[in-house]
Amino acid sequence: MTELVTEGLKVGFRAFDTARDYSNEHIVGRVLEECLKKAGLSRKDVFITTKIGNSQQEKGDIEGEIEKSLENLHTDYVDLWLMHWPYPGYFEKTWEKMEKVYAQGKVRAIGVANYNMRYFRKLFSADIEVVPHCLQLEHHPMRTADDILAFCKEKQISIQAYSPLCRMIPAIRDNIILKQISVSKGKSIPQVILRWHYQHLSVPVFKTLKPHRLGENFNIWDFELTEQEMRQISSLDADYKYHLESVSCPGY
Amino acid sequence: MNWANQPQTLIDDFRLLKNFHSILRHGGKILISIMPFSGLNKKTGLLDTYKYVGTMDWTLLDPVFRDEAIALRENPLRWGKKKALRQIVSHFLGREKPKPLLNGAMDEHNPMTEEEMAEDAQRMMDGWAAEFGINDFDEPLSEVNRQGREIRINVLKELIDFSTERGYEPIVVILPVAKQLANLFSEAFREKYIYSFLRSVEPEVRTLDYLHDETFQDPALYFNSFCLNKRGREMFSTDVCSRIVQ
Repeated sequence: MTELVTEGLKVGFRAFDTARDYSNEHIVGRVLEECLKKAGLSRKDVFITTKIGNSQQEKGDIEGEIEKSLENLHTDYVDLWLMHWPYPGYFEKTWEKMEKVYAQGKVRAIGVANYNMRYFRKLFSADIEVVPHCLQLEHHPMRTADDILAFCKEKQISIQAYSPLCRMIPAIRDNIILKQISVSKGKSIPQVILRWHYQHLSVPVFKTLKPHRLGENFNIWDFELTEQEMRQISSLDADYKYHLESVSCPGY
Repeated sequence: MNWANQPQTLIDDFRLLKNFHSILRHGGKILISIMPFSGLNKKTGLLDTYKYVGTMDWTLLDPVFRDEAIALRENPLRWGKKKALRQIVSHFLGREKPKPLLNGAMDEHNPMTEEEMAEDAQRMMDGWAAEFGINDFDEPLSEVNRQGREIRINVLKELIDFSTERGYEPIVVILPVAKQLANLFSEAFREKYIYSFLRSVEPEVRTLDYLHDETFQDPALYFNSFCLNKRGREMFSTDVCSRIVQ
């Protein structure tokens, strides 16, 4: 992880995404501290996102959980704190408690992950005080989630996309439309998709274990997709999800 | 719902649905298979819970048996130390008897004669009578079964609400049985154990009733009086698939 983070910082990456349920918050905290120091950067130069998981929602001590996350991450605030899942039976109450933590300034922004319209409707009918600042969801050309994105645009909720490349499954890797655009732009398919995200204001959150991929994924600023190309890429939508929500969140 | 595994209760059907429904797209169909005794009291135990350890999310496992079932999965020798030790010894002595890989479920024909099918049908009825504590199928439901039915009416209702709320279409499928068994299900029996149960569940949903379908009562499609063989399953699945998209 140290090698990847060092390389990422060198390339220009400044955002880091983790979650309590990834069981690596403490490692991220330690490595980030070490790498920032080595790179001559400070905490304020990076954007840290973490998430509160279902088992913590069930326990109910939401304020206590942020303290644990801050300790794990060696910081006194996180930039974005997400509710990892709309855990049935708990998520409305969790949001209410997250709002209180937000008011204390321990988190700069609060948001939700993996919400669909059904859960947004439920959350908004619960008389919330703070509109989520961000939604993180599985979003890529095979899952454009138009209804959710339109809703978020209306409510000014920013979008983060996880699995933004749809894990480069064969349906993406071998897709003729993506191949044609890739050839015409002289860019790789991942670069084309990441540019597609950028142009419709979705922030891709990707992971790689290969340092050289970091540079490739970052190099998307010297070309632009036309409106037609954007539409062509969006036409791949099949409401396909690489990650099944109900497997991670039973009763979803 | 699950037709590929051994029979399971409506409660476990619902648990599996909660765990895996996201594989469906909006508008997906959820088939709820119903048998005559789906609405009765069925005690579940350690074995039922054990079946789902590793498949179902642990939070959905029956809390009464969860811890023990997980412990058994982690250490299967606890099921029966003597039997396990005997098998280990047999293995090393070269006396192990391999279990046949195939059973009748894979057959494309029915290995039973007409007479054997009739006997099997009666055996099924006797087995269910014992399993559900029924002395006489014409008698009113016992208190235990009446209470069990109330619970299952609510489970089915919740299952239907859960499905529709998420944009799926729940469809009840009353499964077919071979004619020898169907003949033992009188109209009064069907009314008491199936139709009145389904009528108690609101809201009403689309129902595919194969119990009266003579095409699927053909003994050639079964490997016993109750279970379709491979040919029967293929025919049945094709028929269900063509009907649910209508």
